[in-house]
Amino acid sequence: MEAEEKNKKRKLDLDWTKLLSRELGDEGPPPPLVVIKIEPQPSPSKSDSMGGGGDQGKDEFSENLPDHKLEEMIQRQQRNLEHLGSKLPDKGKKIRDRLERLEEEKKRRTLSRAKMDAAECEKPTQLSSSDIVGSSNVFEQQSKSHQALSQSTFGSSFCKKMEENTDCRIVNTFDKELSILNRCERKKTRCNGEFSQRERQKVRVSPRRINLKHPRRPSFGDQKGRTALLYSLCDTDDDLPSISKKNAFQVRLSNNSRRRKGQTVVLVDEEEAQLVKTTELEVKLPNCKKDAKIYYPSRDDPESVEICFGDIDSLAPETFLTSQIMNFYIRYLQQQASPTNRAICDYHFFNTYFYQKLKEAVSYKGSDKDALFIKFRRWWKGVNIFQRAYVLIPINEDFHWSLVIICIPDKEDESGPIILHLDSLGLHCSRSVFKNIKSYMREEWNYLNQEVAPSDLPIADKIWENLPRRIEEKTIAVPQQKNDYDCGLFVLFFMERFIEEAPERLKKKDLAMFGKQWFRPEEASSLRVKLRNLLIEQFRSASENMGGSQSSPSLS
Amino acid sequence: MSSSSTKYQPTARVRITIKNQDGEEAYYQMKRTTPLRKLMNAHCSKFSFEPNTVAFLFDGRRLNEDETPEQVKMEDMEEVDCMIHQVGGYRVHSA
Repeated sequence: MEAEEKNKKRKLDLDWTKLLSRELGDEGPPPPLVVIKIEPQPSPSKSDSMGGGGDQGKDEFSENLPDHKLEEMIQRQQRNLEHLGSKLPDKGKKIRDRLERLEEEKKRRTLSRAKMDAAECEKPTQLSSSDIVGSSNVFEQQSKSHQALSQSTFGSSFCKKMEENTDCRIVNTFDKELSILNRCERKKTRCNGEFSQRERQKVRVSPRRINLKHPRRPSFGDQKGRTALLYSLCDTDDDLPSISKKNAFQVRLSNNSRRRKGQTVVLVDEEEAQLVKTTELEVKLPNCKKDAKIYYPSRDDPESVEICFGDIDSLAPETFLTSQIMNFYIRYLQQQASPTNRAICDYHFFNTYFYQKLKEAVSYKGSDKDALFIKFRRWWKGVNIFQRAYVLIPINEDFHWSLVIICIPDKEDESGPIILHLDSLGLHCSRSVFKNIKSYMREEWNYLNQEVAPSDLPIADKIWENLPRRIEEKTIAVPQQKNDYDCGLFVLFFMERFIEEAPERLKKKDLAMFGKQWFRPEEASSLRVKLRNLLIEQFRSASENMGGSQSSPSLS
Repeated sequence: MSSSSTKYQPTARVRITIKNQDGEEAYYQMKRTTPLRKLMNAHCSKFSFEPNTVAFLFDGRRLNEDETPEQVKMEDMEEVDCMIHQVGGYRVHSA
């Protein structure tokens, strides 16, 4: 047995290179490789699980959620439907669709799990002791492969391996035969087996991110793909210790079953990925309860935002962003910008709830409209928005995020304020957005006109006198998201980039800074990982500060 | 705080209106020194909201549950907005 183990290890080493090479190769057009590799191991007996693979494409977005989160999402959607459904323009159709999809996914999972269990019972003999050892090896393997990955020189040796290995497609076509041969001819399959082991590893790490990105968005730059990969690998690094600490037994078991599954099943790739991920996400994070809360930047800060550990869920791949995350990052941007940015105080940031209130206030028709507006003014107590250079207003409507930036001219400027609308899907109607923002500005102008002594006027008198008529509006062409879940990230990224690049006061000519090519859409999308790590870090340090009783996973 | 003590006594109760997004209102009374958690929980159970799905905003600022009316400078007869967490991402319907 020992010999066998050794054997395995040795082989595994070889595999990494191959794997690596494969990975690099994958960045090219034929990404499906990833999927394919897992198949070779599976043995014919489990072909039934192929069925499970079929409907996968449909609900990718929910697939990578751990079960409890899925459950939560279902509940949330149900609640949304209850509370909001009737008020939405589409009468909650979208929520219902989503709910349906989530439930399908749940069903599918239960189903596939049942299958897996069945398979396990069928094949107990296949579980050799080397399997167990193998699974613990996995950890080692993984860290090795990380190193390997980060060495770009790998690419070259990798190509060689590739050639030795024949074209992957060919391997692919032999999958079936191989899997049949699997048992009689261990040698031949071994190499495949190793692949799939490594594959599994990779899949574990961040199944969706890697596997999907390539196939679906071939336009991703090499570098992007690689960094994404590294990212996720790093993530695993710190999970692993905690996995082994926390429930080594379970992990081992589940690894085992996974592995067995790998050997016995044909075509289960994606399902495996998500199962793996389930365990993973749960252990990954600092030991915080779902409802653990932190205050950013600090509890005593009057402008602190509260964020709940469970809120991080909305940063799971392909998940819609919630207002908590949005407001956290908006706050974070202000906090980050202040030391480096010359004039962050020239910005005014409204939170995500503001626009809804604004709409309410400007569309109110009652006789006490003025009183209502005065009450509404408390949202920007002590701030004269016309004295700021920029006012940023995130918009959430119809389950979509977009951004408004009001640019106020300075006293010397001859032109009026400009309202910019930035929408990564062009979904929100700019016209009604402009209408609302304009009436908001008009009312505020009205109010100030009665209150403020003329000498305090922030804007050139000539403009100020006729301000409502001098407001210009501009729907800005911006990079567009390539999916349907990243709009929140785009809004945050618009803000981030705008703060970095905007001139002290924006003039019309400066509008050239925007455009479809302003940044690559992937840059905005990658904010998801960054944000998630940022939050995890916040929670980690918070839990360490709280007496440090929790053993936080080490960040390698 | 001490200077304004003539204006209100910490033990006095404040009346607070909570307004839901649909315009529905509910009225509460509490001591200035009681954590707002109580208010939030009461409101959530009254309308069967899950506590972690709504935000309470006072003058646009989200209230933390262990703050007190006094800390956030609530006077009598204030209004608090109860907003359901927003979600955004748009699933494009393929026609």
